[in-house]
Amino acid sequence: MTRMRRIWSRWRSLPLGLRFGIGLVGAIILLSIFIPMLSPHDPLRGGPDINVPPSSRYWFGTDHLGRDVFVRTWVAARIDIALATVAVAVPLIVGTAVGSIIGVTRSRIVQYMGDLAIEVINAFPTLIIVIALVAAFGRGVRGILLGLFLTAWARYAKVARGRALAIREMDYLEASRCLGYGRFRVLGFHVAPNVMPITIAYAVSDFVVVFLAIAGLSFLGAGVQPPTPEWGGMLNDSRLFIINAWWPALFPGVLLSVTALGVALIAAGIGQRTSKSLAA
Amino acid sequence: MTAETADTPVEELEQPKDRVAAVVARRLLRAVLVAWGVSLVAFALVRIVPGDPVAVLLGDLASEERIQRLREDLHLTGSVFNQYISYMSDLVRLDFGRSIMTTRPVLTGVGDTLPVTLWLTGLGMLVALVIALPLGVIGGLTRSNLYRLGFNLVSSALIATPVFVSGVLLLLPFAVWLRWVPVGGYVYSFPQNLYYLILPAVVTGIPIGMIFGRVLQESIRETYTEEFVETGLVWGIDKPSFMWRYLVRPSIAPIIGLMGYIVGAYLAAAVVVETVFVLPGIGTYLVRGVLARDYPVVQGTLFIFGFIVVAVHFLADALSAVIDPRARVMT
Repeated sequence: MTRMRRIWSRWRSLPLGLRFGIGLVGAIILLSIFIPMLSPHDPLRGGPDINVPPSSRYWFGTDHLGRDVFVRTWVAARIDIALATVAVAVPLIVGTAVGSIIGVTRSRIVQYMGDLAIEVINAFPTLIIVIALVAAFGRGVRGILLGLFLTAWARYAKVARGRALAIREMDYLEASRCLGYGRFRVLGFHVAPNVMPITIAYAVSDFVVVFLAIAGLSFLGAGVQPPTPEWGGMLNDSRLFIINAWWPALFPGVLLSVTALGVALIAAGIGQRTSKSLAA
Repeated sequence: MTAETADTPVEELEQPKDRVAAVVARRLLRAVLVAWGVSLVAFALVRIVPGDPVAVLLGDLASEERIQRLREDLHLTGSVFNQYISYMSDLVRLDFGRSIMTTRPVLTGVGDTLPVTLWLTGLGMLVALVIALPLGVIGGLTRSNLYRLGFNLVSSALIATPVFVSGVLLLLPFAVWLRWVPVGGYVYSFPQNLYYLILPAVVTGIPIGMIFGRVLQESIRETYTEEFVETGLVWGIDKPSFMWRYLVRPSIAPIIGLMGYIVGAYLAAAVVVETVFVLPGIGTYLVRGVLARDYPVVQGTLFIFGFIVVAVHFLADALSAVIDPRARVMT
């Protein structure tokens, strides 16, 4: 009872935007888990009811192949959120490691080349470099994930490098070096734990970028391939029929934006808190 | 950031003009290095294709002669070092090779499509500024919490809406129902092309304008805390000129610093928006090249995109070094 109350008061103390964002994203994740389980419709198989407007039978209507837009939209939520999570997690770890090494190294040449490599990769807008890499790896989930893994680490490395450079001269690092700890021990147990909070906070705001890039790539035909439901792909499928049927475009589009908004609000809330705790 | 500038000794802020030149020269050297790296990424693109890219493109039934010719076009003959030399010697002569699909030179393809994208970018930036200036200035000056909350929420929502959602959804009311604008397409003559560009420009300009507006608002609020603003207030300077000289003008510098990032974001948005509105810009050119695995097209456009961003980054850096002494301190 008291524990519940403590959690509740902690929750109440969070900024409004953060709470709103968490609520939004939490609700979308829960709905995406349960709706496909409970829906009577098949997300992949169509029926004779083509382009039927929203009704009590088809809550979001049906698309040009007679598939239920409601269940497809929520299955797509699972796919989009899962893909973006993977596409953020891997570069987060790789980038934090690379950036930490570049930040604390004493070798000028490693530092210079590392900085240059980061700057070169970051020179390309995410969507453009990833779609170009899709030309090399082929369309589909594998292609866009490889493209994101190869490029997104550089953004984290830039953030991590700055932080590692700032803590390099701190006493506790000096102390761990004086104690004779090896490079990897210092890096793994003393630098990384102090860089991680910054890169994780950055990852939440980067999630929005990656999430929209995945949907955008699928919209352009480079990402998730039909008939798999995916928000960007669903918009692309339905835009040619928009004169007759707006619902297969509207619902995935709105949900995509609402999810991005929810995560962006969480990121803004976390950003506020970390800048406060760093200042203190 | 403000704490740092406050601690900077006065001598360092009053640098002679040749220091500016030195800083700009160093930034230029850096930009050239990054541009070289960009060309290296484009070079690597064909070489990371799993398996043989030529076999992927032509299949097993192609004639030996055709295979050999494509191999040469893609700079895939000889050692990697020789491949690189022939790639770079073509690149410095602005020879990006020929499209595999159409056999037209990539440079011609870029030359045909880039102007459309530049029109879209210019018009979109205009839309972004028209939105950002009033919203940002009001947001920076007002004490109304309601306005700030409202602007915050609306701008968050609009930034979170990708251009392919807003583009597709706005087509219905404006192009289908009201028929104010066409559903898509383009004509290559000046005043007429605006008719085809206006909706795409609005769609891309709105989210970018919201980002601009936020930065401007933050910047003006920060400027408000500076001492010269207080001095101006004490002097009793009349309102409009006070706003411009002491609040808005010093607050514009961060937007210039943001230009490199904005142009990158804009080009990415253009790629998508051109597909939505069937505009024959460089984005459509790139996407078609990617879907057909037309490597020379992808390589060439990728290099050009990277090069544009690097160039704008350099110009923004140089410009802020010239107008804002604080930006001259090398990091």
